[in-house]
Amino acid sequence: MRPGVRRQLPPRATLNLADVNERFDQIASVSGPGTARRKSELLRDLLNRATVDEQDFLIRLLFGELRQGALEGVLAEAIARAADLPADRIRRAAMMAGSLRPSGEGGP
Amino acid sequence: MRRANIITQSETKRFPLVFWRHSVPTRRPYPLGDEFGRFEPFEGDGMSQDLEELADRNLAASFAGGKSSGDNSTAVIARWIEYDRLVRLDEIVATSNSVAKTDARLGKVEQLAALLKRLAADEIEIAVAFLSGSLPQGRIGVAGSVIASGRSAPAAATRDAQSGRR
Repeated sequence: MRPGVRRQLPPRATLNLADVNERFDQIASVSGPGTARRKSELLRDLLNRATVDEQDFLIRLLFGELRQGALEGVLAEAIARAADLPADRIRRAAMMAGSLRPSGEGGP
Repeated sequence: MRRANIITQSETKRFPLVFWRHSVPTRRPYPLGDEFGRFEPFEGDGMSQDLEELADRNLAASFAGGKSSGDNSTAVIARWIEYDRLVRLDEIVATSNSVAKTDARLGKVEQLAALLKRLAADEIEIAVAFLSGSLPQGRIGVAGSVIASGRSAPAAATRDAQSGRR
């Protein structure tokens, strides 16, 4: 293969959820002079460590392109199934909390 | 074969031991399960018999107040967990993509539920946020132009190919 020609290998995924969340925490907490540059560096470093599919996912996530109302209902049912709880209970908890995340963490 | 089941990600870091399912009560309940974790433990290639025995000895030593076997076996097992048990981003991505391609609502629910069952407590909030298309932090204050420029960042696999690493 000629030098400089990019060869697509099977993805070698190394990022885990905690890594990504920690990096988003870091980006969110940057403040003061040079904030934009520092945030950009942190984001770029994260994307550098991501595979192509992960990059695409993260960028769509950051742009809000993954957000769809219909998925919330499906997720509520999935949480209920994972927890062996009635879906109504999860939906009610999510409604009270304003989003699915607290009900997913709060548990039965 | 018995399977390894860690309690939480943070506890794994503090206590780098394999906790066998039903061997010890959890320090706090699983958010979606009972105190012994109804979540299906890791199902990978399986743990070798040797590692199982090492884990048992380490666990026994920890309860006896002693050190583990002293041959770095605890660290080995801890690394095994760190690598194999923590849910990777690509698993979320794969599920998200698969769900998007699935028409049947029940099929979507089943795929998402299967993923959620494998998550540790610390990971659930993050995964649910990601899967619903939002960030746990809400907004992180990065300009759209910066995000867009990220599309040109060399991905891990491509970079490895260029550098000859694998």
